[in-house]
Amino acid sequence: MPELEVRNLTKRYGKTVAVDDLSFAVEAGRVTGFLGPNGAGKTTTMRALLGLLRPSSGEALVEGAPPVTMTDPLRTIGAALEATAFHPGRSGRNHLRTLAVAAGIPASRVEEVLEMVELDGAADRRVKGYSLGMRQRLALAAALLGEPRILILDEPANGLDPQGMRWLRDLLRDQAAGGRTVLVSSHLLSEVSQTADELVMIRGGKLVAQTSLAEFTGGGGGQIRVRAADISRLGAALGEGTGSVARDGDEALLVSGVDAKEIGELALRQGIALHELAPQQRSLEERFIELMGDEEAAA
Amino acid sequence: MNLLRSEWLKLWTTRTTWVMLGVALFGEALFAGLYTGLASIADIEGPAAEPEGLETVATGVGLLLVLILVLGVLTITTEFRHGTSSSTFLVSPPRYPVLLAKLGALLLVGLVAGLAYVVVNGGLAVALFADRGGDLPPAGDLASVYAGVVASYAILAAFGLGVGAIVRNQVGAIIAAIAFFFVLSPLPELLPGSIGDYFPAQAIGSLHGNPEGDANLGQVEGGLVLGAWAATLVALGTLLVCRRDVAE
Repeated sequence: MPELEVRNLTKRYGKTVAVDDLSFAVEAGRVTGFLGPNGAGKTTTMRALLGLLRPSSGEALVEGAPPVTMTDPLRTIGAALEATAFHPGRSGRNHLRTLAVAAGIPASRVEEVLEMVELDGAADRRVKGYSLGMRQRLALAAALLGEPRILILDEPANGLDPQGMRWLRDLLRDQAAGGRTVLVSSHLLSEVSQTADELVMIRGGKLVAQTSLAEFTGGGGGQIRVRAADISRLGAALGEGTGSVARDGDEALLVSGVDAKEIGELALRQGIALHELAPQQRSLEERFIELMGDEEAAA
Repeated sequence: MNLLRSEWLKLWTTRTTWVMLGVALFGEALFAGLYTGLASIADIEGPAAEPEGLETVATGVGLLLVLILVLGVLTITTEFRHGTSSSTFLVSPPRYPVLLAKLGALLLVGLVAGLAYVVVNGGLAVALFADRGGDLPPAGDLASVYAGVVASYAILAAFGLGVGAIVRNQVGAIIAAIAFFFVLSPLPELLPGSIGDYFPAQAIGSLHGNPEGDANLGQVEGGLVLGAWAATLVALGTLLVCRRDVAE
């Protein structure tokens, strides 16, 4: 049973369809990146999984059941939805205390999470005076309060400084390594590519792809960049093979359909010195834009 | 029980509650003090000494009533306004227990505010009457007026919660609550018959043991009528909060 699942989830606001017959599942023990352009329906989907909005049709399930039936919600699921959802006049510590008290979580745990997110120094200041990064940390502290089995984080990296990003990355990896379920939305693709194992991509409220990160970025046709003493001759020699060859600027070739070993051996037979032989990992960003572009073309 | 403690904590961890109740009590003291202080003993001990004495003692109830009503509204509208409703309802996905907890916390605040009012106002009254040599109204009458005042604070806080839960928008809800309670609900009094007695403005007069009004209801009946209004609004508000999406 997947920890989180949406089945044919549809959410309409008047005539606008925010989420359109969306289905996917999120498993434990890995970080799942939830990607899509602005307005794709990421937040709506997350809110449905948290029981904060009711689907127009379809269902959102937490551990196989609708979220409203959770018996111990804060220990089941922790969420950081938006970094601005605090009463500006309440201190960070008191915000966490109100949640801890409501869920029957001991006060000592509030101090623990404050330390974890390194907010213990500012905990008694009113949230009004917090920077975006501090609010983001407070939201994460609230999500971690019940040591939940599932984390749902909406753009948690927003406003974090580089150390904060690194800290977040480690935290998410630790949580997943500990067998927990982590669903994290982001528009910072480079950040996701360093954290996520699994990707769920949506656009216009519809699923575009669900795949592992390795498959997604690796599945770009396996191009190899080649520089050599005589690239014209090498290019001609390669062109005679099965692979396809393209110029990458004046000095390099992009070769696909042939692996690096074959290229190296061919160059040796031809007596051409190789200067570079680099299999190309396409970035998540390139793939993402490519895919979203395809969708646009198809739409 | 945990939710109630949480709501109680929420109320006292922002300055709003402290400032509002502080201002209200200070205002009451000032107002009651001035009124009583400036009134001549002759006024107080006029032919109808008892009722006027009572009226004098219980004067200036209104300011705290308005503020308690607004506090009730804010208890729920700030959650929607600042988005804390998401984390609040995540702790308790069936949302009605949160509303019940807020109701409980507000009834308690109403009682605390009412008791504070009694202490301030009663202390002042005793001091002033002693100073002027007048006689305090009978203790029994005084107690029933004060009991009515305390109850009205608690009920009005609940009234505000109901309106806030229905309207959600902070400014809109405050205006709606005040307009309904203080402007619209006194209007049916103008109608012939006793229908006006069953609207909040007149009912609260009855609950206060309104000495000069023409209320036909007793204190207890007035309290029940007012309570029924508050209960209906809270029930409707709770139903709506449970049905509607929590989103900004």
